[in-house]
Formats: sequence, structure tokens, C-alpha cells
Amino acid sequence: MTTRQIRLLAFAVAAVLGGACAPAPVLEGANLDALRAVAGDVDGDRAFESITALVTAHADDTPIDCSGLRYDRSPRLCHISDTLARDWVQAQFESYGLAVHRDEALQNNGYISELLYTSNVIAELPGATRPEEIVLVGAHFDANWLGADDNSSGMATVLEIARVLSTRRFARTIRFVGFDLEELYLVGSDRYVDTIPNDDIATALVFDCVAYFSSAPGTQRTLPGLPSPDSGDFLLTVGNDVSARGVSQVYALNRELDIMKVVTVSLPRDGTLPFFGEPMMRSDHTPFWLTGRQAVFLTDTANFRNPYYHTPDDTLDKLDKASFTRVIQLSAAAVAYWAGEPQ
Amino acid sequence: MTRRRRLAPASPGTVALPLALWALCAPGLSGAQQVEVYCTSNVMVYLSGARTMGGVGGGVGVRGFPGPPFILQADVSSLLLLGNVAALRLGAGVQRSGLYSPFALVTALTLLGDRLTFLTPDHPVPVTGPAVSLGVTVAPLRFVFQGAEVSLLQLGAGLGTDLPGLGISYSLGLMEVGAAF
Repeated sequence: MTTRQIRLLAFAVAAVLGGACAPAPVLEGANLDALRAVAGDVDGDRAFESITALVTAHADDTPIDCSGLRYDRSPRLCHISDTLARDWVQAQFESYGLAVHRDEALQNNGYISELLYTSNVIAELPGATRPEEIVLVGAHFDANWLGADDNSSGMATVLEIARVLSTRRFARTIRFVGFDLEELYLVGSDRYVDTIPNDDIATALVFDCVAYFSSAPGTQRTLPGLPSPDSGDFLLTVGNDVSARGVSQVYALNRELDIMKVVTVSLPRDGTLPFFGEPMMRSDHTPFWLTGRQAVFLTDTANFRNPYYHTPDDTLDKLDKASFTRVIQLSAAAVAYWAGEPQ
Repeated sequence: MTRRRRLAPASPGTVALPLALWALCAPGLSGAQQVEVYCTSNVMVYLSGARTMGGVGGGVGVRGFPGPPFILQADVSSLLLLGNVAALRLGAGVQRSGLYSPFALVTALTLLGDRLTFLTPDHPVPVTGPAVSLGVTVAPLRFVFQGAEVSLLQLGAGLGTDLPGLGISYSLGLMEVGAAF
């Protein structure tokens, strides 16, 4: 072998190894102008009106019968309502021209002795070229008391994203899901995941409490080992090992579009850790994680920031419409990116 | 060179452990009692703006005495709580002779495995590779009697390598027992 041949061989080996090991760009193939346009179509006033409508629905509703509660007899569990909010969410999806169906069941999950009627609300925007691949956008619509932040804000986010994206077409299918009875320990999302064993969920984006913000010092609590700003003026993005790339993409997209302050945390493995797992796995992303699916969770950190969390005082006047609007803008752009080029 | 480093991040521990073991066992360092084997239980944590690693667990190690007052040691531990983490610690320092034998060591701690990761402007993608820190460890409550060793408390702290930014490691040894051969 000549020196030249050796050099060529070394170059080829280095190129192959380098190519194999170099990480793909976080926002590979992103059309930032198109994603910026998606974010720009978000109507914060309209989304806030959705929160108002959901809070009104909870105020007018009759709470579920809690007489059969087991284990946990917290007062809040006797103030969970879902029926009127569910009807309103379905009507909104239908008004956007989406195909909507309910996933209904009589069930319990061991926390209550009676069978409860539960129904997730599912709407779809079919994908143009890869319809079998699904980007799921979800939040729970049930609430304790009025539930302005928890979780009318999350459900209103899903609805506004659905409204904005329903005027476009994407490569992948976007599935919008309103989960029932999250407040009774993830009844709706747990069943939802059980019913879709073969669905190809490219990623899920789940919202729970996304409209309570405060820039005052000392308004944010955290856990030891979790670095956090002192003021509650950021959106927390949470993932696990399989969702870490999704978390990185939300973070990178936010940097590119310069939308808001975002803090991220990715937990190892499926997220179940003795100390950090429970606070990070309280919402509808958990069944996705536990079945090995990618799910990114967005939150204002709930009780780590909001003193009105799970109280009758979780009302509209506590919410920050400007920050809430930015959450929707970032989320709509992320969903559009994951779903493929807007067409 | 840069690419080769990226392909196989060099852990100081993976190089240093065999060296330390060789140093402990090599001819020429021999004395009356050259090698001590010990079991330890400990808490170790590494904190930086980009990750949190560590946990609670235990491990085994070897300690050698090249000549008073110097000691060398290497131990490996398995930690739980924040996932599964392996901790490799190398130390070199001095000890007091006699029944009451406290020591002070310069230590290199390497944590490998699961971690909580955070994204920041300085670290826009998750950090990878082991968390390495260099620091000191002291054992103020260590006793040796007829080749048996008990250490009730070991405290350690170090500075880490998550540049840019600062990483800090803390370790707390809760109980260590050993025997010299």
C-alpha cells in the first residue's frame, strides 16, 4: 500500500465514523419562516375566551359522585366536573371542521368503587403524505372547582392549536385529544394509551397548567438538584430518555423564534425515579412514558408556583394572558414542526 | 484528534483505575501491609447547570500504602435514586498512623450512567459522557486496629468539568469497613 492509499483509507474511515457518530441537527429541516407564521396566527384573546368558557362550564356543572372514593378522600375530589366542558370541547373541534369522536367507557381505576362514565374527546387532522404517523396534542378538560389554570388553560391551548393548524395540511396526522378525569388519577389518558397499542405516535405534546406566571422574586419553588429561576416566569418543558430529543427541539425552536423563557428537564429512562419522578409524572404524559412512547410535557409547574392550585381560587383573574399566548405560539410551532411542512 | 475524542470520550477513571491498581500491587511498593480491601456505603451527587447525577449506594475498593504517611486508593460504587449510576473514585493522600487514622485525599470522581439533564443557553443540547470532578476527601472518624479498618464518616467535595459553567460534586461516606492483607 502506498502512502497515498493509506491516507485515502484513513480519510474514508474517518468520514464514515464521523458521519455515523455526528449528531443530527436538533431542528433538522425546519422551515422557520413557516413555523413563525404558524405562531403568528395564534390569537391570545380567543384562547383566553376559551378558558373563560371552560371555567363557566365547570361552574355550571354538577360534580361527579365521590361517595365511593377509596384511599384518597381529598375534598377536591368531590368537586371534579367534566360533562359540560367535554361537550363544549367537542363542539369547538367540530367548528374547526375536524373529524371528532368520543372514546367512551364505564370504568373505574380502583380509586372509586362505582363505575364512572368517562369519555375522551378525539379530533383528527389527517396527514397528507404520512397519515399513519401521528403527532398527538392533548390536555385534560376535567377540573377541580373552576380549574382556570388546571386545566382549562391546557385545554384552551389544545383548542387554539387545533384552530390554527386546521387551516393547513401537514405530512403527519395531528390528533387532538381532550382527556377525561385526569384529576382522578389519569383515568382518561390511561385508557387512551391502552386502546392504541399499534398506533404510531411520533410524539405527544401534553399540557397541564400553562397560564400562571409571575415575575416576582421568590415565586418559584423547586426540588433539590433541580436548578430553577427564582421567579415563576418560565415555561417548564419535561421529558424522559425517549422524549429528550423532543424537549431539545422545543427548546431550540423557542430560541430560534425568541418566544419566551423556557426551562427544561429530562429524566432518565421512563421517568420513574424515587424522588423526582412523582412531581414530574402527575399528568397525562405519564401513560405515554410508561408504555415507551415519546411525550413532551409543558407546564407552569402547578403547585411549585401557583398558590391557588387545586383550590376554589384557581380562577381567571390569576392568569397571565400574555405569557399564556406565548405558550400557545411556541406549542403551535412545535406541533407544526413535528407534523411536517405546513402545506 | 478532536473527532477521535468525540467518538470515545476519555474518562480519566478508565485510565487511572488500572494505573492505581498497578501502583498498589507493583513490586517495590511492598511493605508489611500493602493492600487493604474495603466496602463502603455512600451518597454522591454531582450538580451543574446542565445535569444532576448521583444517588445513594455502596461499593468496594482497594487501598495501598506506598510508605508512611501516604496512601492510594481506588473504589467503585453503584448508586441508585436518580437512576443507575456507577461511581469511580481515585484518591491519593496522607493518613495518620495508629489506632486513630484519619486521612485526607485528593480525589478524582467519575460518575457514569443516568442523569437529570437540563438545557441552558450554554448547553443547548444535553450533555453526554461521564461527570468528572477533582476535589478532596477527608475521613475524620477513621480507626485501624490489627489490620481492620472502620471509617464512620467521609466528606468530599470537588469541582467538575461541565464547561462552560461550574459543576460541583459532593460525597458523604456513611460507613466503611476494610481489612488489610
